[in-house]
Amino acid sequence: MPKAQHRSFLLVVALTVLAAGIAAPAAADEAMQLIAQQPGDLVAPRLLTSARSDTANLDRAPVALSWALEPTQALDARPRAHVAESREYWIDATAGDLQRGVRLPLSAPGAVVRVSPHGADAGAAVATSDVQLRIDGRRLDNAAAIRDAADADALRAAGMDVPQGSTVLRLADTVTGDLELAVPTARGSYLVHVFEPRSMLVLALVAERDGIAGGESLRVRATLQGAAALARLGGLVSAPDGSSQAVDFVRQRDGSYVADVKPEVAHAGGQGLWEVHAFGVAAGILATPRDAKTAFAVSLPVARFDGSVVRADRGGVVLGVGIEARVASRYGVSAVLYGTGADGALHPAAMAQSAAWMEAGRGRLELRYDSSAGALRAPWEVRDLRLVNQADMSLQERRERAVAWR
Amino acid sequence: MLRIAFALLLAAAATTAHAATATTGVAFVHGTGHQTDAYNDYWQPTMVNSVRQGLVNQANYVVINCDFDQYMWDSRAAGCLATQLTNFINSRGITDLVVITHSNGGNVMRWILSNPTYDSRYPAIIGRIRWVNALAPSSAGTPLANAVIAGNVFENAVGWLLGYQSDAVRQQQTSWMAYYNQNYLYGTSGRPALPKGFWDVIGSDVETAVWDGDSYCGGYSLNVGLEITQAWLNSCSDGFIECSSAAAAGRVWFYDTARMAGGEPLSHNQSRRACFGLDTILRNDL
Repeated sequence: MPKAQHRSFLLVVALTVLAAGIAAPAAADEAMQLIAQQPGDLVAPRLLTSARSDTANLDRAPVALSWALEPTQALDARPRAHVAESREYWIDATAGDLQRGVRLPLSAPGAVVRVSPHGADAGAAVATSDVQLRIDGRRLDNAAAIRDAADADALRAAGMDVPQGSTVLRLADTVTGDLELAVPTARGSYLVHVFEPRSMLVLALVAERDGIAGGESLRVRATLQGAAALARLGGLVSAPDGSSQAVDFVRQRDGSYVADVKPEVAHAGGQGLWEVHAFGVAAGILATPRDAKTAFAVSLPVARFDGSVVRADRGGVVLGVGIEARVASRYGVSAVLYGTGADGALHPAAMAQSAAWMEAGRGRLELRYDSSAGALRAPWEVRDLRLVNQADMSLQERRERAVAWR
Repeated sequence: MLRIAFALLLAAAATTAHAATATTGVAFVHGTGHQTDAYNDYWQPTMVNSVRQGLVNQANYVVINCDFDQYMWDSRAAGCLATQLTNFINSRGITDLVVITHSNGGNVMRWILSNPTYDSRYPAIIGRIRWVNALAPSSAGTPLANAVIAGNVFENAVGWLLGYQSDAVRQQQTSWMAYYNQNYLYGTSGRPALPKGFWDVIGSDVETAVWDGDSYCGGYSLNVGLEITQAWLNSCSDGFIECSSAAAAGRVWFYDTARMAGGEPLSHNQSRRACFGLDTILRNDL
C-alpha cells in the first residue's frame, strides 16, 4: 500500500477527555425521549440489585471520544447471527476401548484424526507406529493409510495448543467408510477427534441472538446439510464457570431441530461466554456423528436507559443519555450518529463513546459528536445505542433506534 | 486535472510538514503467549533491526512483552500493552506511532482502538497512532482454536476449571470472535470503522519442501507443523489463520504473494520474521 494511499484513510479523531462525565442539563437543552423499543432490542425486563463483578480495578476517570465514519459504509442494523458449521465429532475412549478398537465412521476421504490423552498425560501419547486402522475388519497398511502425522510438539510449534501427548493423523484419500481405530498400547483415557474437511455432512447451529439478559431464554436451531437427515440430536449449555445444563432439541417438520434454552442465572457474570453444544448423528448405515457449538453472552442486568435524552448543540451534537443503575460500576455508552445525505437517505456520520463511574441511582452520560459531519444534514438519528457495564463488559441494553430530530 | 494537481500538491506539502515535525516511533506487538523477551524469542533481532532502519531516530522503537494468554481486555494483556505504549510514547516523545502486530496481537490492539473509554490512557495512545500494520491478524478467530477447545464438553468443562487452555485460545474460537466482533470490537464488515487505520498483511499458504530453501525461512520445523494444521483450514490460509479471518477487520494492505520476493507465500511463522522482503516493506512504510 503506497504511503499516500495509506494516509488517505486517516480518520479525524476528536479526543475529548471530559472533566465530568455525568452532566446536568442546561436551560437551553432539549429534552427528548428514546424511541419506543423495537423488535430485536435488548432490554432487560427487570434489574438485579447485585452482581458478581469485580469493580476494584476499574478506571475511575471519565472518558469520552468520537470519530468520523465513512458515510458510504453500510452498517448493520443489529448484530449478525453467527452460524457455526461442523464437519467433525469427538468421542471419549477408555484404554480398553482403544485396545479393542473404536468405530470412527467417515463420510468422506481425507479425514484428520486427533488422539489426545485426557489430562494432557504426555506419558500416554500414542505413537503413529502403535496405531492400527481397520476397515470391515481388514487391517490397513499404515504407510499407505496415513498421509502424514504430527505430535504435540510440532502442533504447538505451529500455534495449535493441543494437550500434551496428542497425536494427529491425516489419513489418505483411500481411507473412508466404517473405520476402526485401535491402539493396543493405550493406557488411561483419551479424547478422539475426527475432522472431515471434505465431507458434505455439515451440522449448522445458530442462535437467534448473540446475547440475552439473565432470566431470558434463547432459541437455537440445528440443521444437518448434505443430503442426510439427523437421526437424533442432543445438547447442553455450558456456562463460563464450567457448569452445564441439558438442552432438549425438538424435531421440526422441515427436519431441523429447535431448542429454547434458559441459562441458569446463578452461573452468569464474570468473564467468558456461554456455549450451546449440539451432538447429532446422521441417519443412514454409517450413522456419522456431528458435534457443533456456538457462543452467546448472558448479562446480569444491573443498569438500563431511563428513557430520557437531553440534546444540546455545543460546537457539535451533545446527547446526555439518562441511565438508571442499581449497582455502582463504570458504565459506558456508545452510539452511531446518522445524518441525511443528498440522496435523502440516512448515512453514518460519526461514532461516539463515553464512560464514567456511576454510583447506584440515576445519572447521565454524554455522547459528544464533533461538528464536522461533512455533507450530511438534518434529519439526524442516533442508532445502535448501547449501555455496557465495564466491570464485565456485559451488554446491559441495546437500542437499534434511539432518538431522531430535525 | 487542476483539482487533482492541487490535491497532490497539498498532500505533498502535508507529508513534508508531517515528516519535519513528527517524532515517529514503531511498536512491535506479539501474538498469543506470555512473552518476556519477544525481541529475541518472537520477532528475532533480524526482523526488528531491519524494520527500525526506516526511522529517522532508530532508537524510537519498542518491543512489547505482555501476557497475551489472557483475554484481550485483561490488565495483563491490553492493560500491559497500554502501559508499555504509554511509557514508550512519553519517554521518547513519540507523536507519530506505527504499530506492527502479529496474529492475536491484532485483537489486543483492536480492543484498545475499539474501546477508548475503557481505560483513560487509551485516547492518548490512539491519538498518537498513525496506523496499525496487522500481520496475519486472527480477526475472525481460527478453526484451530475450535478444534483444541471444543470436543468432549465434559473434559472441556474440567479443562476450563483447571486451565488446560488459555483464555486467549478460548477467545480465538470462531464463534467467540464472532460475538466479540459484533459487540466488543470495530472494523469488521457491517460494524463502525476503527478510529485509526488497521491494515492487514495476509499469508495465503505454507510451503514445506526439504529441497526448497524458502521453506527454511522462519524455521523449517515450525513450517512442518503448519503444514499439518492447514488440514483444519480452508485452501487460503497461512497454516494457523484463514485468509478470510486475516482480512476480516480493517482493510487489506496486501496478500503475501503479491508483494513477497519471488511471489512466495508467508506462513504464520514467517509473517513475523524477515522473510522474502517483508521487513523491507514494513521498514519503507515507517
